[in-house]
Amino acid sequence: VVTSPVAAGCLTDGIRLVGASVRGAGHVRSGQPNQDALHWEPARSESGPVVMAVADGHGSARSARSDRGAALAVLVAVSTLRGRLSSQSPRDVSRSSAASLASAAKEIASSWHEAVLADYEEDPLAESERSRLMEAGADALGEVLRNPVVAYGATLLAVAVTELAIHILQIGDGEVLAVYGPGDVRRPLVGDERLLGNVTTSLSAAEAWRDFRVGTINATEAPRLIVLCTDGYSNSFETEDAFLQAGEDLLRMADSEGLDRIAEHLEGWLHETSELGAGDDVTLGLVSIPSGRWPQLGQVPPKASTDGGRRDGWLRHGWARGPRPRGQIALAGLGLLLVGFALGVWSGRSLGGTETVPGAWFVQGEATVLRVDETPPASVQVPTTSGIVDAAGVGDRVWVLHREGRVTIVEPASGSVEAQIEMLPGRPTAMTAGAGFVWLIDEQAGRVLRIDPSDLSMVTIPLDEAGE
Amino acid sequence: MMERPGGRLARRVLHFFFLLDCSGSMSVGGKIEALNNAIREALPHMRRVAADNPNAEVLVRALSFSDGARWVVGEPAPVERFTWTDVTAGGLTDLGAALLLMADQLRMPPMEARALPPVIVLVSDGRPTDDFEGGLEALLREPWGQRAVKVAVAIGRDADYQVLQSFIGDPSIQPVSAHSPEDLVRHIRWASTVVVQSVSSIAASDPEASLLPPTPAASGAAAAMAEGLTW
Repeated sequence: VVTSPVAAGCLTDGIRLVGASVRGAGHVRSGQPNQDALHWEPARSESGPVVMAVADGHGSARSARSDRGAALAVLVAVSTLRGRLSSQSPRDVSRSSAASLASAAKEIASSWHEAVLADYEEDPLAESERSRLMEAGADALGEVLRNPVVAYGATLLAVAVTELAIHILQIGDGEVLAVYGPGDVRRPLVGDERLLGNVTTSLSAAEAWRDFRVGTINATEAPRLIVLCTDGYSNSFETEDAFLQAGEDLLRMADSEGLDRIAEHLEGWLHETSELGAGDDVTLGLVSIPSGRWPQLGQVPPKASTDGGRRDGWLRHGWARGPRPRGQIALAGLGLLLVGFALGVWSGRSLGGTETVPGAWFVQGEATVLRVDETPPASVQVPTTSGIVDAAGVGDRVWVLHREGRVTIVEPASGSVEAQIEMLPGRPTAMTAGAGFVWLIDEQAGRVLRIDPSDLSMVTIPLDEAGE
Repeated sequence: MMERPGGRLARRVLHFFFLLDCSGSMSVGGKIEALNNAIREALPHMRRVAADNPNAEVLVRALSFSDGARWVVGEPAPVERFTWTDVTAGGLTDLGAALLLMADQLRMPPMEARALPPVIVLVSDGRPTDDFEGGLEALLREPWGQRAVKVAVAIGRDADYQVLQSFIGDPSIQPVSAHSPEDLVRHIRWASTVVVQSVSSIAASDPEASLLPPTPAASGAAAAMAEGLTW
């Protein structure tokens, strides 16, 4: 685990990794250790998934061992993802990467909790740690004694590159960027509006896996460079654009000078960044993916952004599970999406046709749905006043769930609305199709709505009867 | 030598707001003079705390309310250059109007996501005469309005503690009471130093962690009771 000022590179299967982690200027002044951690595997060229993880220990008064928590987080994440993805088949990627990621998030959170409790058991609080916690006030010592996990609180970002796809997981703050080229730097995960100021979600929460954001980029849409960093890096730039510029610059440098040269300078850059910026620990990891890595799948050029780096428009991304934070508008309900996948069908009966269009539908931005299958993605603009929450393919139509609880049924070729279901009961947050019906989940009200596409009749099923 | 990647680097900004009651009742018993003096006295301490953390830039503004609300210092001023011009008292207590103006400034933009949580220090000796709830609602609609560290100093026994508590929004933090000019000096200095220091710390917090500023060393109410009340 890289927690000291070290920069290193690694070459495996054409993918190159470079990363460094430095103690922040503020921590140098206060005598605190680097509370970030960085780890990747494999260390040398060998087959199998390449996984890099970055973690940021909270460093708050009660998080007295967050440096250890961060180190354990990157170890657990890399080990878990390597283990789970080694046996992944093409079918897994196309059908259930979301299931795999949600499950991986759960395993990572659970393994991390076990690891920190084992660490605590082996090495209970020393007298000096107790004294510092008592000095911190606000019953920090009591909190840690009641629940030692809080002492290890940390965030986590991880990226796993397999032969078929790139998987990304994140809990808490920090940034993941996917860099395609000049002017095309994207964020592959949905945002989390709770992460503002110094507040972050944490691995130390009781059900931390619910706060994981996950995403998969198909091989055919792979970026040239993935950047993982703790918030000590992104917070040090004067503006958002200045930070995104770093992604562009790093790709340009990798192309023109090579990653070895970046590795030589990385530590110095990160020290400078912390000193002139936010003062926090700074960790930066780069995953360089050679162009043409997956020629056998047929390259589909990534859709170029037109505004110098819009961050929406991803293939599959969302929350590992559970209700999204209030106000979140991103792609909904992977949990429910998975029900559809598990049932193995996206066909159902069509409202106006029986021919089934293959592929799955995803929301892109506020008013566009995107069909993804073997062909280049097709997008459809949908009239909406409140924004789109979710979409599902039903026969040869796409059903669109709007934020205010309305569903419209759209003919995808023309984009015309053929039917609509006004104001469903409650406030559904996700929709899928399967077993001949369209299913909407209303987590707040604790129920599932089942709609028969042939006559739009609706049945309400309590969630406890519908099961997980 | 390769250039460092990315654009300009910058310290994180901490926006600090004085939110001051300048209603007519503040002219009674030398309260407004004591408030001006307390702010002036606190500034050197605030500058010292800011200088101790070179990775945070403290920008100060001041907003007063009486008949309506107005910015006394509207442009964010670096604490090193911030000087205090005395405010005067007279009129009603339109706190709601002040919170509406504050909400405008906490919107993103002009606020940036990378900023440190803003600090708002409300000082008041009375109860609002306008739509306080509407103003507070507008403030709390802004993400930075929710995340701001809000503290309140109640001057005298006529201050509306319930209103100040609603403004703070966290039952575990209570308004501090000032019953004498000495109390006021102590509390304003606390808000300008300890709170600023706490907020500009680089430590992150998980949502369950406390972002609360520490309680001042002495309760103003208790101290004043012992010494005899001025207000």
